[in-house]
Amino acid sequence: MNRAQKTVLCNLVIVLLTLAMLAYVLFQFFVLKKIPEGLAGRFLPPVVLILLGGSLLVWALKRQSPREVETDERDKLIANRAATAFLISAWIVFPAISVIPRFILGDNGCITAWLLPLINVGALIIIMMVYSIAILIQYGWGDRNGK
Amino acid sequence: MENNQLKNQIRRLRFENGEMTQQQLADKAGVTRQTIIAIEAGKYSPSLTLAFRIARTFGVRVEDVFEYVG
Repeated sequence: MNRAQKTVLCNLVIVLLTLAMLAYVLFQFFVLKKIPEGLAGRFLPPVVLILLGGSLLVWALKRQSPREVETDERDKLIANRAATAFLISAWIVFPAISVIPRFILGDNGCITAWLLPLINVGALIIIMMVYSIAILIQYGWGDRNGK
Repeated sequence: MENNQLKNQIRRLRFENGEMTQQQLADKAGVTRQTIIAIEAGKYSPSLTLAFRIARTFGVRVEDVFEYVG
């Protein structure tokens, strides 16, 4: 398993944990009409960003022998395709998150200000998940061209 | 989508060249061992440049390593 795979695996764990916490927060807010407190509430966005920064540590700490090739044409191809998946998902997710609250709350609905960064972090997390899965699929179960 | 139509003789050539390991071939061709594994298993079609580098490592022609079966 190379550096990119280890980093995205770490990302994926963070993403899944965050999605579970986000689901809890949104359930509390929209269904139970309560404002969750603490790490699972308004402080979730900075915590998630710090955790995602932690996955950069995995990237930095994964040592390879100096004579060993770090990346080659296949790694670059996989990274390019994952970046394309990242951009396409961003193009879909960010417009979607600006429309979905309108459907839930109605045209004149209100939303508390602290929920906005949470929604944006949710979108970022979904996009990171797409990127991580795209990398892992291409390394793991790819066809002839690493797709 | 594209089907795999590229067969290779890398495994045979490695053993004919002093039981060369995948890592040794990777080091000589300037790629990672994962890429050699993927090429050998027919899961990745290398670029023309890499195909030539692999062939040169074995001291054979590129068509002795890779065969296009249309």
